[in-house]
Amino acid sequence: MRLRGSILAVAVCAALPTVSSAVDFHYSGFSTAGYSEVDKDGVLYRSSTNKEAIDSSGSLEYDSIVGLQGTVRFHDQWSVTAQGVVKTQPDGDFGPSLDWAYVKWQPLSNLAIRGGLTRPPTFMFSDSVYLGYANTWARPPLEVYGISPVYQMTGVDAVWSLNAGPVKVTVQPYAGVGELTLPIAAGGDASIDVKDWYGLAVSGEIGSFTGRIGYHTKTYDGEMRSTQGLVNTLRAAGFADAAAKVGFEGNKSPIFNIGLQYDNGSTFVISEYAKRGSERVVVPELTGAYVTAGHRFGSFAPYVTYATLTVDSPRSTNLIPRTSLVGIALDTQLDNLAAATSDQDSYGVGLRYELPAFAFLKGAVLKGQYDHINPKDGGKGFLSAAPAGFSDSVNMYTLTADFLF
Amino acid sequence: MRNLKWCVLAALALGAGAANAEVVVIVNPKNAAASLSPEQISALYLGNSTTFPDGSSAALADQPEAAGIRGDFYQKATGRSSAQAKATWARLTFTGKATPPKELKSDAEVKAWVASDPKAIGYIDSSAVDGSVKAVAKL
Repeated sequence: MRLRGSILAVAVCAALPTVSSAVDFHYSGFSTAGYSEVDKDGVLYRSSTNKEAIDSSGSLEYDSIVGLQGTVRFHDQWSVTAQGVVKTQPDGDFGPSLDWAYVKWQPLSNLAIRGGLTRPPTFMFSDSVYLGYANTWARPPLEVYGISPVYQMTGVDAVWSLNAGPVKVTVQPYAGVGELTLPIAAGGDASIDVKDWYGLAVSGEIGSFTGRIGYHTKTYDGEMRSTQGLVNTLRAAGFADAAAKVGFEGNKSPIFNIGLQYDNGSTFVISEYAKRGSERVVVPELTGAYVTAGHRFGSFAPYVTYATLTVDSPRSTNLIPRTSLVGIALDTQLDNLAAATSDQDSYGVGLRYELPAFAFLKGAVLKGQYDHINPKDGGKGFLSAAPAGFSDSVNMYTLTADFLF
Repeated sequence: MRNLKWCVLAALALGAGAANAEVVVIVNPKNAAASLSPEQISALYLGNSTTFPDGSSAALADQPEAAGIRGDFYQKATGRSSAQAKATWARLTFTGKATPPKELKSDAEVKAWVASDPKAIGYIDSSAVDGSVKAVAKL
């Protein structure tokens, strides 16, 4: 994947001067330069698919990204698009990867079918999380956006829009396969396949209101190296039933999402609710929600966010009887795994400022955001790491500059 | 000093001109539409629709970023600033849902392009309108 990304980037760059003068080739790009830090030593804020984290010494990489997209239209109905990004990869290195690469067929003005690598619409902004310029926040609330660790699909999707009276309805079904890639503490990353991935997003727009419902189901196919050891140990110790309820292999994890948006041009409210199902200890069932509200005063848009995360799975498993030393040791290990995530809520305040366009930049936005994160139930909430016995709240400060070019 | 005074006067005159000017939405004379409502124009320029009322597909022209008419047009037609419209188009572009309007350099370029393409739609200052294009809305 990464190699393909590099080759693509080189090929696109080499082709730019010559092809752009030919018939129908468009390219454009976006980037974000960000800096963020938390105020507590030992705390790491990140999504589960990132090795790079926001810590007390600050991160210039976590929110930073450069994206370049090229589209070749070779027929009225057919086009090919590729988008490469340079960002922190799951292994923690800053490097290139291919984010989108698809063939698009548009047989009707209101129907498009795409095949290839895309970002399915799991949540309202899943397909544009990297696009800081278009988003209100410095980054989408992790309480919702952090619950879907698989965000790239190789498959087919269709976008069909129709007008039902005054309501503009968009229906987007998708199906395909994917990969879950997680960082490894010791270095590098590891992937397992995601199969039987089917989903549907339906949205309706009327006046200043947009409503959306999304659902997908997918199944993890394979065991992560990080959990394989525990699964093997459980089997070897004779706890086959427990072993089957722990790891990724065969876990069906659907996600349901509802989104509501109001934007009258000056005042805006964005809200989402999401629920993740799961059958295994390593992937807890979660419910996340947030509401963001703001108002535009000319080029300035202050906004506030409240977000909450609830762990729906039991945080203690009782899968293994604590009747032997081995049983106690293994049960403790499972409980630790089940308790890795706890409820949390967070409050955010931010300011988005649109700069006038200058030079080759088509647009620039500056954002400053403050988040106050409260892990609950004596756990570390959705934080990736916290010192032992941590029971405090965390303040996070973020500055970003987003560009279009 | 005299130069500065001229500059200020010129700036004031330009500013006043921009404030008074009418933005006219134009299409190719072959286009079936006799007029377009602000809602129809807004739907096209915010990426909510890709077709004219008769179902034929539309090709959109934009004015340069720095031109005052661009901000006027988006504010009057869509109720959004041109920066907000740009954010909307960025989202549509980088998620593969639509292609942004073609950015041309001046009223003259927009008019020439619209005059040459039956699918085209653009907006220009009312003073630049002539028989080579059809005016479908005044904003």
